[in-house]
Amino acid sequence: MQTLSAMPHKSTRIWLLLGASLTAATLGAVMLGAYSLTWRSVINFDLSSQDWMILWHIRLPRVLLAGVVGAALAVSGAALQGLFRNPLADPGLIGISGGSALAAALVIVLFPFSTGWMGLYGLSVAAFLGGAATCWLIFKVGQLGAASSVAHLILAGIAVNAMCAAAVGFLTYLSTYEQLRTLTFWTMGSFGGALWPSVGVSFTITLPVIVMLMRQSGDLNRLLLGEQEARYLGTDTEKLKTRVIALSAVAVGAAVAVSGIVGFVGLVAPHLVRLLWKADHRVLIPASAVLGAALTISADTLARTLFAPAEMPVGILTSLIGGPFFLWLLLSRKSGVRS
Amino acid sequence: MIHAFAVSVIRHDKTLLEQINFSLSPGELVVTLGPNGAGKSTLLKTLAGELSPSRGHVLLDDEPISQFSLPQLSRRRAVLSQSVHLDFPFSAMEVVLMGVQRTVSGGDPFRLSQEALKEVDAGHLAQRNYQDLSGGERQRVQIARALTQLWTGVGAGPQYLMLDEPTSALDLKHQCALLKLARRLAAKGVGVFCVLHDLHLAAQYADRLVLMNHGRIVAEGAPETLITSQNVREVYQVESRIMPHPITQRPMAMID
Repeated sequence: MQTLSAMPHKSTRIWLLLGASLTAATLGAVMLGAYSLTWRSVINFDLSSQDWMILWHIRLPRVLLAGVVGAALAVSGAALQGLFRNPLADPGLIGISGGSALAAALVIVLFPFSTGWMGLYGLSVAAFLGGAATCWLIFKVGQLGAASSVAHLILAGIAVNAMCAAAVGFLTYLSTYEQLRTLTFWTMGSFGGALWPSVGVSFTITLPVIVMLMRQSGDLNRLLLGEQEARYLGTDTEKLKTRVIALSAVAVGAAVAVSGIVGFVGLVAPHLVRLLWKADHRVLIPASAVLGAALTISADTLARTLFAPAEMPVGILTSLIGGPFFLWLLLSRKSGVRS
Repeated sequence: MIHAFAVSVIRHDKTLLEQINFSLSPGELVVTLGPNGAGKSTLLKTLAGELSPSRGHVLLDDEPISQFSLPQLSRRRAVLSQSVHLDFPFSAMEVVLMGVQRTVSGGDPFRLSQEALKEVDAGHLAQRNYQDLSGGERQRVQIARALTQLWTGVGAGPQYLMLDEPTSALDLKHQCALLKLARRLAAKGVGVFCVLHDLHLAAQYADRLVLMNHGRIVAEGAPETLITSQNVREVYQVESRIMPHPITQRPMAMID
């Protein structure tokens, strides 16, 4: 389809704004922390070897990881909200978070001997598989209805999420004190364990997913008119739903695997883009990616610096901000939430 | 040509359509009338290929309509449903652009969409938020979307436009304008299938009327032969007298 931009001037301005906020968030995140670097030295690469060590081994992978996880969550949030035709949909809604948390908890409690590197990777892969499996299950249950309706999917998501939460709760009873700490940390979300390999893995997964989701933009727009209307316009809605769910599962699974559950980014970022700009998925998806990255990087910087040298899990911070935002959305009439 | 042969639609043990034989040719404007629940929308969806009949079959150009892929079908017929909900802040123009077909033919899609909006007297609404529009304005924007679908999909064969109560939210001026638009489209070779409730509008503009009741076609034919007090009484249980329009001579049902 041809590119259609009604108001190029407005788009340029907002892309500049988004780019500037991401750059500012990144620079701030690189400089600030228990050990501060000045912006002059960062920009001019005028760094002592100690500065360089910190920048290369600690700050940079962490900032990049926060950015790519934020982008992945925001983009899947945007796509899922389109899929469910509900601006309140979040990656958590269709059960990816619940499934990931359950799989991670299973690994922590049932395989306590798997520690260190192996443990980290085991945990990550489990979270990814758990999220994808739950997502697949919800999708199948949702299809049991005559013509897989969106309401079916959402209700199935709620049920499976509740079961996953109960199972995780049960596992916390079984766990030892040490396991409980790991479990808690995981479910709260953190970029504390950022290393270059995890940065590489999440980038190579997330970027192609964003590109592939962007290619569904036109069809996602039509789906907002309703499944029947989208089919009348020539969109294969069954294929579209499968694609969007699979792509979102991959992106969120990869994000949760390296950082635990960082909530509400997938809700807040797309909504801000719609509020400030437009709901057209051609714009919404890439803009959410940039904004999600900037927001998550900023949140992580706050989480690191508010109580430095101690550090709070970034998931707590995002929930602290995202929770009230969610309530505000529920209460506000302009949000377009169906009653 | 769209043909329905002995089509029955049964859903949840309820017969929605029974033994329907119907055809829609390119270039004609057919209006379907009938009380609520008569099966008008079901017939429209079946002709559009969205509902598959329980018995009988629907053919598009002598091929089963189920053989067509969704993108193939979408270039042949556009559908305006009774109600379309949109819960996200799109501009009217963006809604119209959703009609643009994947393989665009017929010209620049942006320009065609603007023309479609002007065609329904909604050119001035292009940049307005769709959610802020009135019911009638929304309906006109949706009609423009269907027009854009037709205009960007030309070249795949004769086209059809299916409108399910397109005038339900329109004022008198725009009701007439819409039916005149349907007439112009028919003159250009588009087969128009339109569900209406207004006997007067239907009789004034349609080439052919279809009267439905209880999932069956009760009567079919030119307005002069179909709008009779007997038909009106039988289908609507309303007493009426029929008078010819002073100028067009088309029948008008005067309710007693």
